[in-house]
Amino acid sequence: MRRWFAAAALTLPALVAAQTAVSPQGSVDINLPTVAAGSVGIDPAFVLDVPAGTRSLRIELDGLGNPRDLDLFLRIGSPFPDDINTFNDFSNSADFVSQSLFENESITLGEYSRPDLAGQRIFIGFAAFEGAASAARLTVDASPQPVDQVPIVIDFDNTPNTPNCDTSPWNDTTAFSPVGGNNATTLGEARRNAMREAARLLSQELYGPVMVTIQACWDNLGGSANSAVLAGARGNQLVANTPGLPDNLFFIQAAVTRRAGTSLSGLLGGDQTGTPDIFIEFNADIDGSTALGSRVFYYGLNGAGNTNNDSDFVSVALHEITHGMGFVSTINGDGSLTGSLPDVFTANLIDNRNGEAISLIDSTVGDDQRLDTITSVSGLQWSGPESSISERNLQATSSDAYVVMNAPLTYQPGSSVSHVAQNYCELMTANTSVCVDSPFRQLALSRPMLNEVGWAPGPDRPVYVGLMFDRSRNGHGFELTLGGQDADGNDVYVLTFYSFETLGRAPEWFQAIGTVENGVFSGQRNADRIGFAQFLFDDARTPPQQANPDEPGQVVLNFNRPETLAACNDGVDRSGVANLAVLQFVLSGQVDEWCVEALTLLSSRPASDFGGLWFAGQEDQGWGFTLENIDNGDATTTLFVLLYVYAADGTPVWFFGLETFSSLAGPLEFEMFQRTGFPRLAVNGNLEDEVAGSMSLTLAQPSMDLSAGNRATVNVTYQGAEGGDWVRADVPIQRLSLERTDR
Amino acid sequence: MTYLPLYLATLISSAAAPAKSDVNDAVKMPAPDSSRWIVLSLEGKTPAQAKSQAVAAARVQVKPAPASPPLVATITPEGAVVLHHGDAQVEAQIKPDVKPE
Repeated sequence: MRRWFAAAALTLPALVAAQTAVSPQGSVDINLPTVAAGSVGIDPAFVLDVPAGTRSLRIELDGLGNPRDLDLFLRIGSPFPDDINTFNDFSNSADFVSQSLFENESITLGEYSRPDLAGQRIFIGFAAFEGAASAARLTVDASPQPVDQVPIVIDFDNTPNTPNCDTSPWNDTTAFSPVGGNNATTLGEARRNAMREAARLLSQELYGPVMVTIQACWDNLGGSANSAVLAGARGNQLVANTPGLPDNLFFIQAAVTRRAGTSLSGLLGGDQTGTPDIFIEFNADIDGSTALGSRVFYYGLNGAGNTNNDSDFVSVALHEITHGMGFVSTINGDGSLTGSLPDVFTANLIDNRNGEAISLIDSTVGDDQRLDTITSVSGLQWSGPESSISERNLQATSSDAYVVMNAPLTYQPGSSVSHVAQNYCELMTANTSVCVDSPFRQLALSRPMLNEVGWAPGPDRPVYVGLMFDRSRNGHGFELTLGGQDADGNDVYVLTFYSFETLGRAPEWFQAIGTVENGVFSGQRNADRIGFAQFLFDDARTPPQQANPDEPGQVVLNFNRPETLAACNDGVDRSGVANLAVLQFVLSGQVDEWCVEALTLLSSRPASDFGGLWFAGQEDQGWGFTLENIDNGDATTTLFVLLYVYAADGTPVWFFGLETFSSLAGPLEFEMFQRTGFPRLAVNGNLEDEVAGSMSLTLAQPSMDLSAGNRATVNVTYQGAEGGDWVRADVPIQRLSLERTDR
Repeated sequence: MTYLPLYLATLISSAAAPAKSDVNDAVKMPAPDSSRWIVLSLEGKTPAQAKSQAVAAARVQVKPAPASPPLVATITPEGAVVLHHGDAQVEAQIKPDVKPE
């Protein structure tokens, strides 16, 4: 029950007992009260039930032209507390805020802000400062469409914040001959076109609702015939402890406002307009005859016609803007960190000189160790899982499957640390000598790296727990199952991959255990740095199953906008697929990326769901099976079992059975098959099945208790040259996985 | 049984995503009772100061972002243009011993 705020009240507030529901698509007009100077009126009692299927939510508060300071606050899941006595209480009880000094406020949330947005109850509050009674309008748009590509605008004119910001070159009237798709007729127009093209290229790879502003300047920075500065840039500021991002880490301003869903003014309060997100400056002397001699900027949009080997303006601008989007570390030249909190770029860096992968922001790492690392040539590495397993990572298939960062023996201010090593021909390489003929006009490896500094698009859907497959690799597949929580309360998942040998056709399986961060599951690496293990079985040792050190696999399952990733842009129409992800893995020295989808419908799972990963307890570990149950809607249930065991030589093999039952009571008998298929690097090939034995299940209850009455009998024979029987007679079994609910 | 398809195509969701909402069909709701507004004192602060205090109380921290140093173009004796940030000669001497496998 709400109570009076008598102590602070200037007028007697009548608190409403009921909350006013607002429509997911619509608007509501609000009568704002008269508020005297020195006071603020608040109304915390609106509520919105976000519909299922919502992928983005925009809430606007419009003062309808009345120049009165209004603010907007959102609280997710529970009402604003009753004990609000000050504006401070109100603002800090909100999960998301838009509290500029202006009359219009908005907050736009996407999957990256709250993956669990759909289905939530959101409490909406307002604040109105000094003014006579007036009206405002609240508009809500809960959309099934995701947040669009991030808008990036270039300010070619505004110069109040930067000294020596010459904007006249953007309006240079010198005649320009069209080149490379740039059809400008003046040099100034050509420059603006090229700058906009760089922004467009970046925009099409990143997603966010809040405009990113770039102040673009020129200056006469000089240069010699053989060397000259082309450009420089910086983001405006780093911000920590804002909505939608991890606490106690600094993120670049543009990523922060994106996550918070509002402008910098709305996030930080006050008036931050006129403060761009990124400053960029180009050397006006390049287009003269002294700096770099006859080599000038090439302003073509498509790279064609650069016959003079001129400096590619678009790729230079793209490189610099990317720094401004957060591709920069705050490590100083002496190894120290600036300020009391680390930045997220540095949080991705590790000291891997000895293969120990020590985070550079670990409390045990001092300035000396950081300095040694950033001058170690190859020991400074990037640990973000999505980047590390990228096909663009030169080290993806090595035992040190991390991205190598630039760490010259002599610290190079700005070159060291904040670039990838120079043998990477990438947009953000420190030195383009290895790719001098290939100016980069795409983020490539920088895209997952930006994802890992605050630009992750966010999971398309909640993490899907169940069987998934790639329709181009029919016969291979995997199960993702939830095994429990770690000591920090993070969900721990198990991914079991059934596949066929790369060089042969025999069945084999792999397994990874790890957590999900920013919509990306990554297999946690063991002491041998293996994140995706092929287990070998030897009953004479404990535990009998141990990871094969000669198969250093890695795996990532990416739920972040998979439809935008290359693997799912293969021309196959998957528009109706409910659950989609990209499986990236390294196995047998090969990197591969698959577009995967759910094998079965969530709605087909019976009320009593026996699905998941099962095993025979700690005393008989190393083998198990995936069980999927499908309610056919006609009083029958189809059970699909994938049995993970070993051949006589201890190598992992799998079998499967598929049967339909009219009742799950009593022993459920399966004829088991061994399948030979096609290599992972091929697309759909032949599948051949032969009978390999039998399996019997007694399913009492879907329990993680070994004594719950669930039992299994297995008798299968591996048909390959290795041979081997796997026999278990009526042994107790338990589910390894928790109840299957999307996370 | 000689062939059991793992591709259970008939079981795969074919449910289309819901159509985008049309904001033009907005539902206008009645204006709520203005009597529910709560009026609080700003305790002598201006609105800007009150907001600034709220941001500080949320432990939001801000600091200048480090500048990316200038990107430099150097023309090699062979006539190629190399882009770099630091000392090109230093960088050229220390190719990391990392090769794709």
